Amino acid sequence: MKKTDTMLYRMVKNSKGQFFAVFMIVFIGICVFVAMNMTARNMRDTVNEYYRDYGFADLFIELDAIPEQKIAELEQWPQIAIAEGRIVIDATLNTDDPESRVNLTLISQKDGQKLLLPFPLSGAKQVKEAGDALVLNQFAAARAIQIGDKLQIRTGGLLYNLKATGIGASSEFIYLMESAQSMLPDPQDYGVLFISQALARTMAGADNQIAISYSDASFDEEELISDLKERLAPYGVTNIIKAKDQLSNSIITQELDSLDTVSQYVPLLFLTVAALVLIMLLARLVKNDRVKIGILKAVGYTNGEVFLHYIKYALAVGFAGGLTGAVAGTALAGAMTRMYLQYFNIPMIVVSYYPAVIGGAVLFSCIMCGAAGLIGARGVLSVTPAKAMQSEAPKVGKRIFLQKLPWLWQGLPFSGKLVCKNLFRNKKRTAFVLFGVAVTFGMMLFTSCMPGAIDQMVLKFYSEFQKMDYNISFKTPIKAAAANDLKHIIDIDYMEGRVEFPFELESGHKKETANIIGIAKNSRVYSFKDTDGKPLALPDDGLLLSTNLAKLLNVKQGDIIKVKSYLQGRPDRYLRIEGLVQQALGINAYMNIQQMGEQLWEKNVINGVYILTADDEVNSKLRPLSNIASVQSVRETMAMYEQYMQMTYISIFVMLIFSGILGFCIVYNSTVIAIGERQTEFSALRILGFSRREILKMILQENNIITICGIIVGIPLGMLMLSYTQAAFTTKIYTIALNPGPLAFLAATIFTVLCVVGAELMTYKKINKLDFLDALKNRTN
Amino acid sequence: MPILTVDNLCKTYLMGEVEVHALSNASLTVEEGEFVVILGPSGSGKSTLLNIIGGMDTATSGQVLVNEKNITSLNEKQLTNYRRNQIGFVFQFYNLMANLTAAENIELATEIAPDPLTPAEVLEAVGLSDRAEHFPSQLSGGEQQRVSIARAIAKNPLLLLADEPTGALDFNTGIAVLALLRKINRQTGKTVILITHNLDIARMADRIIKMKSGTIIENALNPAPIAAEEIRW
Ligand SMILES: Nc1ncnc2c1ncn2[C@@H]1O[C@H](COP(=O)(O)OP(=O)(O)O)[C@@H](O)[C@H]1O
Ligand SMILES: [Mg+2]
Repeated sequence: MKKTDTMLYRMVKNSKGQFFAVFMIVFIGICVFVAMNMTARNMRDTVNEYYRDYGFADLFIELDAIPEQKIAELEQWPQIAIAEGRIVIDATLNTDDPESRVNLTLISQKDGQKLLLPFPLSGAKQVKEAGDALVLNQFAAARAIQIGDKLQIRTGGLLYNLKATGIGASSEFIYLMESAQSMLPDPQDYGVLFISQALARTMAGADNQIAISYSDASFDEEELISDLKERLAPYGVTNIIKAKDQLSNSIITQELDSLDTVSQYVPLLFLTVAALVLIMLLARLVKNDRVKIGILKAVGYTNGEVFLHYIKYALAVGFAGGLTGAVAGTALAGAMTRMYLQYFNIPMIVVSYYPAVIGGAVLFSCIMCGAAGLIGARGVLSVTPAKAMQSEAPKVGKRIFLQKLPWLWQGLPFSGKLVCKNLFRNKKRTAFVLFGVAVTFGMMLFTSCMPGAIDQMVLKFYSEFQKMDYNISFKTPIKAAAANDLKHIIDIDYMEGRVEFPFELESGHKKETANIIGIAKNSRVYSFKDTDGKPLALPDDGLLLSTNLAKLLNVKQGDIIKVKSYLQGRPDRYLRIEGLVQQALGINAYMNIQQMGEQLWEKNVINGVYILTADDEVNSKLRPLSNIASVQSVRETMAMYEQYMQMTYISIFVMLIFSGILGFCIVYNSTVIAIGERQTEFSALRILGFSRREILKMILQENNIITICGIIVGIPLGMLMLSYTQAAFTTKIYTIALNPGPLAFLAATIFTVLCVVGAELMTYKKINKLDFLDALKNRTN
Repeated sequence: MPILTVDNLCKTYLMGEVEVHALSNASLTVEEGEFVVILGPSGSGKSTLLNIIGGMDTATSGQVLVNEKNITSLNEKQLTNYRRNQIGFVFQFYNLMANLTAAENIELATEIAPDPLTPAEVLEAVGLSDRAEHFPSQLSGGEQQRVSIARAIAKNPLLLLADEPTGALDFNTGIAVLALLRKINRQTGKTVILITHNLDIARMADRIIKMKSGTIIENALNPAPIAAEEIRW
């Protein structure tokens, strides 16, 4: 080994703690990067393979009824490889609990089926007898349905007795949701049964859905859809859904996209911090190693050789941290994929190891650290051997900034003045430690306000934005006045009719499907607030858009958007956006119910009501009514959100641990460096008669001041991170408003102080071991 | 033909507004194989002169000819090469690498020299063969300085330069170091240039060069150099 490398190796060995601290930062950054990146890839692979193996369709056509041979004819089309008909029926499940209302979708299965195959998990693999049913696993689990159980279902006013013969998953229902309005899966109250074609025929007659799988030919999808619409018009086409818009798939795509975003953004944060720490670490190292650099140059080492010596330190950190981080991340990716899949309800798993990701991560880490090395160690170049050998000329004593504020300066005790002078004398060092504390505080603030934000989000939505106990939807719309009949059935404190329908909103190239909700002019259910938090009244004309929807459509207040109805024969409308409202959950547009009736729908007709009530038998009382599609209880919805958010909590917990380690490493590093480079200074103080205790006290005082300043600087830093995260975590399902409360600040402060104290305790040992006199004797140490 | 010719060398430092003339028109010659002592009070420009001779610093004007080659016109890279190939430097504060052993400190220099001696050879020469595997912190000041000398001669340099090599040592150790330098000079015929502000040390030199305020005030051969062991101060 070359002697410079021996030096490097021993230097790393002798300052293990410090090397380890930087190593950890790189390790975490790369580990998180690889884990998240591979998880995201694994997830996509898994979903894709699931879709391929179990025949996920490219197009879903909903129609009134169509004969089988007409469907078979579609396979003649060059764009279409497979076209399969099926019968899809709405039903309800009879249960012992009168309070619950369980909706079902029944889906017919036939022999030789190629598309949308259930994935058998237990019991029968296929539906054999007419009375058999395969139960969707989420539903079976939520309702504790076991093989052999009797299921009594009601559809078209008739009761049927089915037997659960098997349990399976389905690529169509990875996310089990009744409709786009549900926003969240609720497998207790909505399920899917796969039944025999024979039984389905007795219930509904002919096929009412076609699943299509495309051929390999290249063609324009929109064109195909309009051709199909025309060809199938006689059979009453109601809806043609592309795979990308299919409910479960569109949510999964969104989840995967947001996983992608997070997997790029979080590791980048860690690596940036690692690079910054490395830059500062090396800059300090070079500064302290002036004499050593001078000797090397005096002996005849070239600038390049000495420079490389320091860059090698950075590269060593980069390589060690990168490689171990990549390996750990790969291992973690397997576990994370499994964890995510559990939550995703996919009964299979594809975990691959991507050597390219590992190699890329190591390379990236080396490049990043190498670059940090180049920047950090550039001071090497300006050291000339003759100057380095001279004892450094004492810095010209300058009045520090504080001395310009006599009223403040006079008030300080002598030791305080000394501490302040120290802080100001070496601004770079102070800045380094301050930066460490600030980043730690920022990360902590960010992490500690996440859980509160999620609770707040749900709570605020249902206590401020939308105040109601139940949201009842009707199967067929009714006259507004007719809703008053409900008052005879349940104890209603307040009731308000509404219209809620999905529309396609279009602006420029952007298209989004969202529900427009028509509400009374002086609604007591909704309180809208604009982006500044000021109350916003529902306009008489035009739309209010949730900010999230506005962002998806890339529109602002005053813009005009096209509103396309899914109902047959309704003309497109152009409506003006009158305002943007803050909405934490879901995306919607709002409109005056009267206007909505006139422009998009029918006058004086509603398809649902919001009610306030203390009655807790709402469900059972509404059961006998045939026109009730769903009864959504706010209390239950909130509980569902809690569950849904558990995944996010896990991520936050992981982040918390990582940021804790990160903070600790930064503070530890900066303190060790600060103490290391001041050995001579401390020795001089010792010789002047200062005791160890006094010196220690001075260091602590300095640290305390830096910590306080660091926390102050950390506040805007944390806020910045919050706003970035807010953007990254915002999905169609929810918008996190990250406004840290006092509790978050307190938690972040405590955590930061703990980090600082922890790092101080670790360095305390070092200070105690310092041979003060030795430091004066040997200048190369 | 002198091995070293310094001709009207000037070095001016700029300290803010003030010009400090560390060297003004210093001229001297040294013959091959001489043991030269540069003598002068603190601040007289000795180190500045030696640093320029050693290629560690550049002159403001004037010439330094080493073996008839002008080193003041060398660029950064050529200067590095010159230090690497021709110069052995001994510092006041030993300046060994703390985390390399005695032998490794020497290898640090021999690794990059074109025609080096072996570490064992030079350690033997400075009488520290048994300390090869010791780290500087395990050696006394005198021993560290002897390792430092071993490191300087291991490159087999043209000039061996020593800037107050005894400055940090006690009397006896200092004498031993001086004796060692003299022995090397005698045995290998290497030119040694040593800086001191101590008049007594100068008495062991073949040539004594006296400096004051950045100029050479005297450059004369010593008719009767004494042995290092005879020095008293
Ligand atoms: N880097 C420098 N910047 C400014 N002045 C310097 C520098 N190095 C040396 N000097 C000045 O040059 C003069 C000569 O210094 P030096 O050669 O170190 O003297 P000596 O070695 O004889 O004690 C002194 O006045 C010193 O203050
Ligand atoms: Mg000097």
